[in-house]
Amino acid sequence: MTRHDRSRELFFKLGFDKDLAGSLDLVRNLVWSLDGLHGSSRIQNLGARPLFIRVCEDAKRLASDLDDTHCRAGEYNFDRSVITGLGRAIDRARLIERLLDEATSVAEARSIQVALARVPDLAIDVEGILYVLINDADRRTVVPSEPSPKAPAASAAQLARGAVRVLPAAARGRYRAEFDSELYELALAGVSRWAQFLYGLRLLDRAWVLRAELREAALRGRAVRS
Amino acid sequence: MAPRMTLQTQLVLRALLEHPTRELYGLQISHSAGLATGTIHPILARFEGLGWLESRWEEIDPASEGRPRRRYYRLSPDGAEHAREALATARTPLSVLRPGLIPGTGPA
Repeated sequence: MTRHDRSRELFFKLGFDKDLAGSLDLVRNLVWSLDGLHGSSRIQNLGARPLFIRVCEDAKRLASDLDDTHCRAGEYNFDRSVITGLGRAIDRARLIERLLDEATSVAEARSIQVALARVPDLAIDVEGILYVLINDADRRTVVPSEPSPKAPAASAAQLARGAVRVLPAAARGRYRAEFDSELYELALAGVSRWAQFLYGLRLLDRAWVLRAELREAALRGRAVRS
Repeated sequence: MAPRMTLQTQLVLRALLEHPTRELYGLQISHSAGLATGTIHPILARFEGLGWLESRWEEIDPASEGRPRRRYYRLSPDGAEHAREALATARTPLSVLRPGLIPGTGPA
């Protein structure tokens, strides 16, 4: 058994996949909660404080959980790609924690705005890194005798990513995962690469309409809350 | 405010109303509505924003299942009612926009 094989076996045996999935859920919650805070600059006055406190708690837990996973991965001498990916995720998680801490301790509109402007993108980055780590580990352990699903067309995935970039920051994580999932299903169903490419093109074509719908829904939500 | 009832919008609502309590993911809705994949997310977002639709992530462990989670959609109880009304009162109903789509409405 090679070092690589031992590493991937340990990854699952020691429950790293579950730990990372837990962190992925946590960061997705964080993205959703941040969506609820979108545009709030007066946390104290808008009744958004409980949500803000929850975001801070989630951020602390995320950084702490990732720190533990990172340390354990180091102890077991995991693949460089896993260690590097976790390192990138934890850097961002720590920055999220720091920005939110500063916003909480200073409690002034400007620091809150800075945190709310930067944290969603960082959280979405963490989400993307964890998603890749989990799925890469899973792909590496596919038993050769089982028919392996075809990978989605790279060109379609690129177009889907382009469509996601057009969307409001708070919605990007959700739609990135949703488009990835649909593309995966299309590839699994044996849809041709050309048809997948067309799927990506249609996503990109409608991204601006989706963006307008999401913005309108956010405005409507804020109007209802106030 | 009632949403604009384009052909695509009506087809999506009709697909969702076929099984109002069943959860469907995006590709299933596209297929049921007879629309191209990758075209319905703006419509779903509009109805979700209006509270007509509810959505959630599938509760699976992607690592153990070996596939990403699906995003499931379902009409809310109020949404189903609104959807029926909207389809019934659409200025240009499906039967006119696409004759033959609804049984008994096609050209003789």
